[in-house]
Amino acid sequence: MGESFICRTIQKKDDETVRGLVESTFSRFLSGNFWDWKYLRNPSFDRSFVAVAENDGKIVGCNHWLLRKFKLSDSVVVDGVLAADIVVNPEYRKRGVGRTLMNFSRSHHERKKLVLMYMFANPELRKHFHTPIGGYIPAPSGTAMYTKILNWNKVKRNVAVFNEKVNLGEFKDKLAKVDLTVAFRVRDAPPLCLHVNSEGVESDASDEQADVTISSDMATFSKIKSEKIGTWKLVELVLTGKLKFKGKLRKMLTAYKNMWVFREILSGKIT
Amino acid sequence: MHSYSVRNFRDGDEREIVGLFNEVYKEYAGFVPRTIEYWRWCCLERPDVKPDGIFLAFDEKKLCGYLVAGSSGNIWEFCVADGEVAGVLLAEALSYLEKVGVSSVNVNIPQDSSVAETLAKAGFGKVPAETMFITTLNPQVLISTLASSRKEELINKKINDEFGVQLHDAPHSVETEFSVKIRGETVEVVEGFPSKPSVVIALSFVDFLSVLFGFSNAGRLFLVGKMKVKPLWKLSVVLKFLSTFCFRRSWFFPLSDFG
Repeated sequence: MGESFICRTIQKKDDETVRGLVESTFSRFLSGNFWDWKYLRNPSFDRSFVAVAENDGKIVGCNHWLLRKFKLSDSVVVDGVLAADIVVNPEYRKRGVGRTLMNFSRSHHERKKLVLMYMFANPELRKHFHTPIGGYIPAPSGTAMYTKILNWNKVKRNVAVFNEKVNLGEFKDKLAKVDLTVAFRVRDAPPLCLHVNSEGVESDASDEQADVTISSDMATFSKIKSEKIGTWKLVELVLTGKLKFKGKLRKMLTAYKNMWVFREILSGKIT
Repeated sequence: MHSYSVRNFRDGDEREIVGLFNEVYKEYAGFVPRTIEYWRWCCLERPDVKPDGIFLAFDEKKLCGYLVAGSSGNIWEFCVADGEVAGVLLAEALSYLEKVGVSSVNVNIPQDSSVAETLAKAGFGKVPAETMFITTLNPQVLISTLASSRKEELINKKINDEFGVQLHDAPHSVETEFSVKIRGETVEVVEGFPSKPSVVIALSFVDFLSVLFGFSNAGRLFLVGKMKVKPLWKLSVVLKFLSTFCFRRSWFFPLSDFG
């Protein structure tokens, strides 16, 4: 039996709750008065484009849209909306709040006679959520994205967080028999060497002591630190020479088995 | 080799910045002329941007490039009139970003931009770009809007038919049946299935949109059974019809536009 969530347009009195919901969800990526800047100070902000979902009078989700104009050809400009932050309180996820909010907003946009809706989203989320609900398709991309790593300070911060978890007893069994040093050589980035053992991770390990050296370019590095890459993709990268492993076979297998540690540390908004 | 002068943003530079942005990006899909008010909000007032993170390059007195760098490590806008000036701006920005303690720098550019070479030289590596996803709230309005800019093509293609379009698996509240009547350059789009269409096209909403936005090939959809055409002998007319409304430009938005 599905729960019922009431959707409505945001009111001034909801600002604090919605701001809190968005900023607590995205605090890893954003800082400062992000919500106020993005919405309240936005020249095209229109309150009717922010929807909230309520359960027993409590706001449990919100969906923000930004009005944009779209040029479809030299002479044709249509009205559209950019899907911005959609957030559901973690306690209410997977209960249909997101779907209800999307349908509510869609009906609102139709009444406003808008033609296009677009977003920049995680492709997996798009496949399982946005396409079935909103009929979104990937637009032919004309964009190339580049990254340069200046230093590994964020990785070091992640190492500290990881070690705190280890100190609290997390990962104890998984790390019990690990003693491995892995050097990462990413083209045009400073060297990184991580030593993993039962006590946690050390980020200032010496390159010379590395049991395994993993070399790649930035694009491949960005792929291997992603959760989504499977074994076969990894093999493909090795076979095509994009990813190189150097070290004793036994140590390389240990590195592969403990890839989760490196993903835990290297993932997120490091690069 | 030109010699460019580079300095930080000063109040009053907005007009020239917006003028350059509008000139450089005018050919990309989705582009709508920027306003000063919008640029001030999306760059200057952005929480992680300070005026000393905005660099302007001049060739004598003419603005030929600018770059907006944020302490989050994102280069929100990197707009240059030519590739040569890009290197000058990038060097300034990297030095600034290192000074403010950034770990990694992200920037996006149009795929065909000459700036790619400059980025590679500066040690940037290409990574998967954020994907843009698009949908329509009203396929009929989209078709009739696109038709108004495709008159010449319609005349050349000599289409003279009434198409009954049936979309299945459409999102909540989308009209799934409509007719498109084409006579020369005149296109009439009407909600509901026509009483006597000369051609019937049936496909999913997502496939229809994929064809319109140039992501899927209508001929291939037909061959794999995802698009049905009745009568079959009108297939070539259907392909002509869909290709007329197909959107051909690729999309580019600087990071500052991602919202």
